[in-house]
Amino acid sequence: MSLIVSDLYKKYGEKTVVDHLSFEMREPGVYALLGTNGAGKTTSIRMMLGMLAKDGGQVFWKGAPLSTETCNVGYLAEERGLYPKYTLMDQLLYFAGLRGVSKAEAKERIRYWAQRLEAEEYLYAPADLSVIQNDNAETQTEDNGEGKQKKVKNWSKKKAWKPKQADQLSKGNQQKIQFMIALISNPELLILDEPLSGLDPVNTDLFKGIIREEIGKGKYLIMSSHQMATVEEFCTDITIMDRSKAVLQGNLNEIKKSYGRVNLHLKTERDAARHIAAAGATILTMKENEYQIKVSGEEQANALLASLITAGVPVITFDLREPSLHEIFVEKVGESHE
Amino acid sequence: MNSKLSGTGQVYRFTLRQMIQNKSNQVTFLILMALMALSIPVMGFFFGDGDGSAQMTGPIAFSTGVYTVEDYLGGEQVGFETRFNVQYAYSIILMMVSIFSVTYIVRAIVEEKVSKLVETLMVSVKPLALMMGKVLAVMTFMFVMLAGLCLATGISYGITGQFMDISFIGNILENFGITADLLKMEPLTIIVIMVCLVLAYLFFSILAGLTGAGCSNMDEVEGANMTAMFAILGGFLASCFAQAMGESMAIFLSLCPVVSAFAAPVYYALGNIGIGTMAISWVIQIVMIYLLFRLSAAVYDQLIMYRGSRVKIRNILSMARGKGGR
Repeated sequence: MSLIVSDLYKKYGEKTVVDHLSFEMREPGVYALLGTNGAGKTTSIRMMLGMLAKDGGQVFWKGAPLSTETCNVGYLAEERGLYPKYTLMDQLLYFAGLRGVSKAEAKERIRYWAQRLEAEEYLYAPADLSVIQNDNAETQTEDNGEGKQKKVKNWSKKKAWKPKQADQLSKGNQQKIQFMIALISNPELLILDEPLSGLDPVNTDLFKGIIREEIGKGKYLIMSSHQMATVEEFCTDITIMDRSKAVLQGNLNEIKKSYGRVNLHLKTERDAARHIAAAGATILTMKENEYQIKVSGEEQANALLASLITAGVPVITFDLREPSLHEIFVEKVGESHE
Repeated sequence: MNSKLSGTGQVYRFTLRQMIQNKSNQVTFLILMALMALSIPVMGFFFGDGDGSAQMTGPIAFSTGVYTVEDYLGGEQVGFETRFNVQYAYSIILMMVSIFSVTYIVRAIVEEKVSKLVETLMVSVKPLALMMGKVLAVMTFMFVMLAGLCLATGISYGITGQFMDISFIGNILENFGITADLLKMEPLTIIVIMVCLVLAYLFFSILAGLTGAGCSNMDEVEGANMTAMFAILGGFLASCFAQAMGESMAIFLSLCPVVSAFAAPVYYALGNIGIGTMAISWVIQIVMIYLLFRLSAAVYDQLIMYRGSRVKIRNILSMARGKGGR
């Protein structure tokens, strides 16, 4: 067992903000901490990392209490920032130093992650950049190479390059630097609190690619997010929190299986509402002969399909599936509010 | 306690480097150096004369006669004016060093909180190390700056003396009743003054770090500064006014926390207290710094993560006693 979170508890005055949260990560993968705003996710993460004092509970990493001494942790905080007036390279080297990464190693890693996150232009002078590009693009075509050379020449004619400061970057690009800080120590446990919030689709894909890469390397990831589709894409196990309590926990596939295949996406060429009603299913949404239907199970869905075929209604789409994480989340949180 | 301070070195190096690289710090330093270096020849130009005797012209008229301290003060006792001048000069230096440091430390801490960096930092370094790294870096910067200014003045004095009459400087000081003999200006006195400056700096800086951590936005910086400023001004005023009472308050004020930072080295330099009393004063100051440090260790973690209206010193004390509900 690599990560054990046992009975975490936190109170502010009379208000309980994390109520006996427990979960485990047995093997590498992604664990999702989900919840409504103010459910206690970030507080739980802060307690796990020792930033906040616990009122109860323990956190273990490979048998020892979790701390930066026992575990190489990378953390992308929900509330993230950079020193606005310091150069980005200085900040990256500072954080690397704090994590015990040597300067030479840190420079190598910064170069790697700058390339992966397409952030070289903010960290390196064009002359350095051309060296990096040449080092790493030996197989590039001649045209490409010439193009880059020309670009470098044009840059060098302009005024001298100055190291970029954080306040000269857009929010998305600052987020890339913050992600680099989280990754700079090559952490075995990576905690990402809302990693994709505020990113454009291109950068979202860039971040997702890196998250996939880290999973592939056998890292342990804890992800907190409101973007259910993203969580669903990566995570194996989840905890849904609501108002300080865990309301649902377990393996996502198992949870989905337990709900059964109850969501039917149906598209026909003619009106099928009468057949759906006759089969006893419930229409959730409907738009031009395209229906989102809630069925009681596979038997009811099959009966509906048979009825449509018998009636000669041409079926374009018949997709029976388990509920999405979004649906499970909304249902579970709704239940706990009742 | 050791683990709470791990990472202090990294924070120290980073903060110091940023302070040195800061353009406005560089400009301030250069301007001050230039002013100190130019002050001697400029004064020499206006007040000096070719044959070495001090002849004062201009709005301030100084006596040109040379007196012994006893003659000037009319007895064994050092007069109020002299005491006040010495106290005032030392206190101004200490106050300037402390105020600049306090302002910088509070601003740096609040900036880290406001820019939402604290959480990222706290994965790698304990909050107390964050504060101590800054305190030590600012101290290094300030003392190097102070040494630089003294050096610039000294070099300027030496060079100007080759070309101009600068005896007026000694005369001016003598007119104020200040002589090297009176101040016991020997290596031990200089060491005593340096130790006192360092201890005073540490006390006010840790206090500033603590109050700064209680802020959640830049608007609250002034309020956080005020706590340390009050302590600095209190010490400054008490030590200056106490000089009116002569030597009678020397031991009390040299041992009194906060005021002793200003008063003790002056009383020592004027020969009112011995090295033994000075040592006891240091012990008391070190105990005060240690208590403040312990208080920081107890509450800094909570303060640095806290968001809300500014936490005042009385709230911090409540937090330390475990009564804080924040």
